[in-house]
Amino acid sequence: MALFIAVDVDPELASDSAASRKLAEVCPVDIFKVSSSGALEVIEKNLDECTLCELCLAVGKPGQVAVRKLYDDSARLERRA
Amino acid sequence: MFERASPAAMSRSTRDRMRWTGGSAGAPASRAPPAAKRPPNASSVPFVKISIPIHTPSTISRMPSTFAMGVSSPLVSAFRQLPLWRPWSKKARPREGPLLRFYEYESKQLLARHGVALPKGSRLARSADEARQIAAGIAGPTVLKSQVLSGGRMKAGGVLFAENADQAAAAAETILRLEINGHKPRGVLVESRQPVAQEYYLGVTWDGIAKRPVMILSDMGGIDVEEVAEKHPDHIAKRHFSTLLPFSEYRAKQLVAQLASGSDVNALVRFVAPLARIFMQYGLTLAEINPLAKLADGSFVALDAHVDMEAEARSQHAALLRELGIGDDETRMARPPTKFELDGAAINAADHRGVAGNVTEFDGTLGLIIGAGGGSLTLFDAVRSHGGDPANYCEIGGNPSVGKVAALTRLILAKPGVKKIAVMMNVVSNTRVDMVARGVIKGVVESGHDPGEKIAIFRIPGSWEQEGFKLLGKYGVEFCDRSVSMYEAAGRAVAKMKRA
Ligand code: SF4
Repeated sequence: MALFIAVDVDPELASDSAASRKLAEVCPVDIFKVSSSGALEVIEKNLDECTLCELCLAVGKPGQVAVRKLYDDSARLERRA
Repeated sequence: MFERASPAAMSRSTRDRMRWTGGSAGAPASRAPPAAKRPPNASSVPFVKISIPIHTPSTISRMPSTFAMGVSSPLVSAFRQLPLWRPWSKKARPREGPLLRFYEYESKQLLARHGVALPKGSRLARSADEARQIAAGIAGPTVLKSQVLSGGRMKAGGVLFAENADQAAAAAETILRLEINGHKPRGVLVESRQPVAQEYYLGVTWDGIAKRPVMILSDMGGIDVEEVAEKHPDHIAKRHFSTLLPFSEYRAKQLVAQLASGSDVNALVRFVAPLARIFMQYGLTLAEINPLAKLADGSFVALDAHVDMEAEARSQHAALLRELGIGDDETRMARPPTKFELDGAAINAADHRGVAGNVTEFDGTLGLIIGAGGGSLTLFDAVRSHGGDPANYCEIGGNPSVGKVAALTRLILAKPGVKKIAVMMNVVSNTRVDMVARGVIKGVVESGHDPGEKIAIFRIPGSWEQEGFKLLGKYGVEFCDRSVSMYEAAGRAVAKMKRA
């Protein structure tokens, strides 16, 4: 169970296979994965490895991906418009 | 029958150094030190204290006592008997251990490649028959020495003399069966035995204070050089040299001339200069010839040799190690690794990110997750000097993953007797404070404990420290920044342990 980090992905973005592949590609600690069926998965066991690099935030439209710091009152990292 | 080298006859050596006594085994040579040949105007500064120059406890465990001279650190005594070579998982890539110690025969092979003269024969026999053949080739008295990485081989009967090939075979058979301090011999080194006129000590190592290599020569070889330094400082000559400039014959001559004269100077230079080159070329932490003998016929030979290679140099000199027959998977331990240490090594090997799990086990109650090069040694010492009782020594660094730190924390907390852990480093730029904080907190939580209770102190100032401090604050962990010294942080952890 992740203690420190949560990641929210907008369902619309998660259903976009190109965006999903991009998320899997940019995250340095393999938090995103595209399953064989093409669905986007968030790998729970890797969440706490998030380096807060914000690369995932650049995928999709502003607000579609957010990283939450659970240890900091769920402060959200998200791309601003 | 072959002749046993009696400990009494060899009592001059306190470090299992083989010595010859004018060709007659068992006839002790006079211990009157040779007259000092130091020029009268030479400085009589006693042998300078050499600080601990190396980075890991295991390295220190293998330090010859030369290193420890004048070092009163509790760390030195604490680590004396610890492993000299780290274990690694069979499945994982070989881990870089702190130090690779060569057997005597390997050290001598290395020296011989660089023109250092050895006693006639000087070959490893793995069977009695091989020993017979080598001895037959020598065609004279021989000495046979057990090839173990443990001390005490002479006392254990691992050094024997023989007059002919048959005696050599019998001696080899005896030695090959002999286990010394739990170590089976790799083989038997068979060499010619010749009368010795004078013994020297020659060594090169790092001087941590000068931060340069230092060459040490004594005309009282065969005994511990620190004993000579203490009791007969005028029989020691030393000279620093640079890692950038080669150690020239001229400098070698300057060193030797302090203790020798006449043709001996040139003869000794032929050992001094190559030893310095070998030391630099192969990333050694110690290269030592003791005794370096002047034989009765005036020639000089390396009677015994000792070489330790820095672990990080291992991959760089893989070809040499292969040629010497040192396998990638060879572990060279002063004692077998404990399960705890093996588990730590497995954690480290399982994830390439950073270091976490380079563990040495003690039986105390405070688990240590410490790092920052020399800082970890300082921290260990600080804990001990405050009266703390470390359960382990564990270096972390290089930005290990959260999972790796968590696994290590779980391991340390699972060790019986561990009450708390202290997480301390010097100021770090290559390791994120928040990631280490996440790792230890995760490990503590997953072990079923309260981080605020189990983590005695967290002192890692450096990259992303504000983020780390937020995290630590949230879990009620006591932390401090760089305004609190490492010594003080260690004191706080120990005080908390005492209250626990
Ligand atoms: S912030 Fe970086 S590490 Fe974290 S989920 Fe996004 S891409 Fe991965």
